[in-house]
Amino acid sequence: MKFTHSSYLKPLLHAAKYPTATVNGVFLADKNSETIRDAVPFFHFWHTLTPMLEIAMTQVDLYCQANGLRIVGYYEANERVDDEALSLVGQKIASQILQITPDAFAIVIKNDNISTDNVAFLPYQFKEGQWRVSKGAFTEKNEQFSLENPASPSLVVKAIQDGLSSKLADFDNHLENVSADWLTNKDIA
Amino acid sequence: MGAWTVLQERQAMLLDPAIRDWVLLPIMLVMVLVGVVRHQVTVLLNGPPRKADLKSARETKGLQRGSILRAHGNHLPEYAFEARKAYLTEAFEKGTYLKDPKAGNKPKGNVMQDPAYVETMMDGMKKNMMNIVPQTVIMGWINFFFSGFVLIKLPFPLTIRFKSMLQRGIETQDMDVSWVSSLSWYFLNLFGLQSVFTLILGSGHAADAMRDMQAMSTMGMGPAAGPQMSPTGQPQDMHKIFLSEKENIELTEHEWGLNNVETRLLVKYGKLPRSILVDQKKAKAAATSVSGPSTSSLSSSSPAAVAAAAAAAGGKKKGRRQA
Amino acid sequence: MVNAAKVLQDLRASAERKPDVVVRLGKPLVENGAVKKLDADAWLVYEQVAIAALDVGDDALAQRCIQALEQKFPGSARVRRLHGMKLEAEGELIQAGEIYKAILQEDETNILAAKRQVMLLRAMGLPSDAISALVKYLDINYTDFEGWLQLADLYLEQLMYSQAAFCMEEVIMLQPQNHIFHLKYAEILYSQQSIGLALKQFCRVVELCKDHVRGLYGIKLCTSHLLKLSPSKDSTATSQEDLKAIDLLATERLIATYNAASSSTKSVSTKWIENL
Repeated sequence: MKFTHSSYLKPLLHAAKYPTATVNGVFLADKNSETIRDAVPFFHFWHTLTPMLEIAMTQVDLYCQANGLRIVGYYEANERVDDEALSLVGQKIASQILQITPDAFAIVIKNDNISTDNVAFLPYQFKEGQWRVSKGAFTEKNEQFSLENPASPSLVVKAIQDGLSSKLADFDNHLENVSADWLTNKDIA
Repeated sequence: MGAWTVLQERQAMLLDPAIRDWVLLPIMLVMVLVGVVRHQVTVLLNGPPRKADLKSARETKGLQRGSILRAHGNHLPEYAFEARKAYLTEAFEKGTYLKDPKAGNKPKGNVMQDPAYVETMMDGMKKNMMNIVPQTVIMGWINFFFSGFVLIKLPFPLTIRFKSMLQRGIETQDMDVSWVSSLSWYFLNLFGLQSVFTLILGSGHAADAMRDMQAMSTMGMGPAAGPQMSPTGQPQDMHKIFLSEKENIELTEHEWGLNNVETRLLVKYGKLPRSILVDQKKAKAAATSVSGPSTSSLSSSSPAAVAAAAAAAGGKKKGRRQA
Repeated sequence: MVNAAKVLQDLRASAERKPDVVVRLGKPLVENGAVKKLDADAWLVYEQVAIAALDVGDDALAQRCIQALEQKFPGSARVRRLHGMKLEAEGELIQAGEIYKAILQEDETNILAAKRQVMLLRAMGLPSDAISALVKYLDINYTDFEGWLQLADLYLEQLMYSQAAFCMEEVIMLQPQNHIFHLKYAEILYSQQSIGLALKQFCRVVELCKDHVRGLYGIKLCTSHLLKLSPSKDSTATSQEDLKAIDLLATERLIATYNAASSSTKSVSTKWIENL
């Protein structure tokens, strides 16, 4: 799994935009490759309820079908800064994705570790019947999780400092103002 | 026209400027100063606010729970309403929310032995004294020195009905109503200085004359957190209040506000004619009136009445379906 | 300066949480001493700025405000609570808990401290303790709808939907006119699989707030499920004709909204709406 810059950038901007709320979303990859193209931000009001999630998921699915993509992963950033556990809801959603995509994963954003020299993603994988932290991710030799552009972390820190996060729109924003582009977020990429 | 000028000339009375300097302004000044002093003394006397106690807070909030359910229960679906109704009637019956659930039905002992009660009484007394004494003194002072003085003329005419308000203490029938007597000037100030005090002392000051009036009408009443008291000054039996609230809840019928929300929405967007809502209402009213007399002929709390109410509710549903 | 004070006062009155605005306006007031000219309001501004500063992580400013308040009101429970919040922000959760506990021992009705204690338990990652503390608090302070909302959120994190629905019912009784609460209740009902009830609640949302997109989406989702099922025998359930009419209405309004906004995601959304 290789994360492109925009798929690393969007989740972190999403977390930075709503520092006092739990935010979540999904990752999209090309149909037949391991490269994660993009991330789609979902919610910041409440992430525990299913109706809007159902709608967001099916719409993302339609978008994927039209653009040759597939949903491969789930991300969330918890409300509490030091909370790096995958929430109950997160486990449920990730398990749903797992049923379609066997190599699905979940990412918890390390809120207090968004810096220029660290990758702020904590990947979880489904092993032995439960979601476990994938060890040694984003290190040099790790094949499973890596960044396409090694400069991504420092670029993200700069983007957050520049206030780019205010331009990001998630599905909650879209429901308040339907012209907000939550699927591609063209203004950011 | 001629009569009017005659009237005006007749009322051309000149006031000595000394009245302004030595009566009008001093009365106002004294009242402002007394207000300020009273504010300061009240702040001094009050000391730290009495600590409310958790159980009595729970008692009042518990009672509120009942009234909120009665007022807004229609926003809930039937099952949610019934569950709350059942819970609250049982809790009120048992006295779960009472300060002392066991004391339930026992008669109260001597209220004077309840320290909380005595303290509230003292508090109320202190506040009352602070309110009444200065006002009585000022009124006496004005009555003694300036009774019968005419102080100002209002620049606009008024009807005769204002005479008793503006010319208190002057027993003349012919004087034009726009002249104001000294005692009336006092009352105008009493009520009118309110905003001046707010300006000097900031909001929430204790110099407010309106509060005097309130204090007088609710003699001895303590702050809201204190024990509940009836108009006679005796603490009320909370259990009785809870029981009557329980009865109120039992009598509350549930009419779910979302029963016909789909129709209302369609009407709102103009997909259905507005008349359909009226028809539904009529059908409902017809269904109720059939069983109406039987409900009213029975005493409200008997089981038969409940059964009749249930029948009425059943009738309503049928009516809706027909509509 | 007068304007800044006025804006801060309005924000206090409306209880909106806009820490960035408060700090931007309040910081110069506190730092150049202009705040003292506000007389009695000064202390409220200090408190407001202190809390906002903690929110945005400006610890120095918070410290300055709290110190000013401590000098004026030594030993006040309200100021000690601020001190506790500052400790919380610094991560000294246990010490902060001690402060709240001490305040509550002196005055068991101190609502602010009781609320902080609940949030502290939540922050410490003890959701079940937070729930029981909040339930105890709400048993007394029944009318605090924010407390009920918080409790609903706590239950939702544990995926306890029916308990959360109960809390939202209380919130709706206390604040019946706010469509956001109806919306949340509707979504909880849907999550609980009570789709018929959820539909009615979504309808209520759109009734209260015309063309509410989230509500319309909710209606569309519910009707699409209900139309697939065989007609319900329950007399209170929505009739089949009403379902179809409501479904059409939601589709029409959603598509109209997308057309009006010239949304770039329109193709996907329209496809979703029409194919459901």
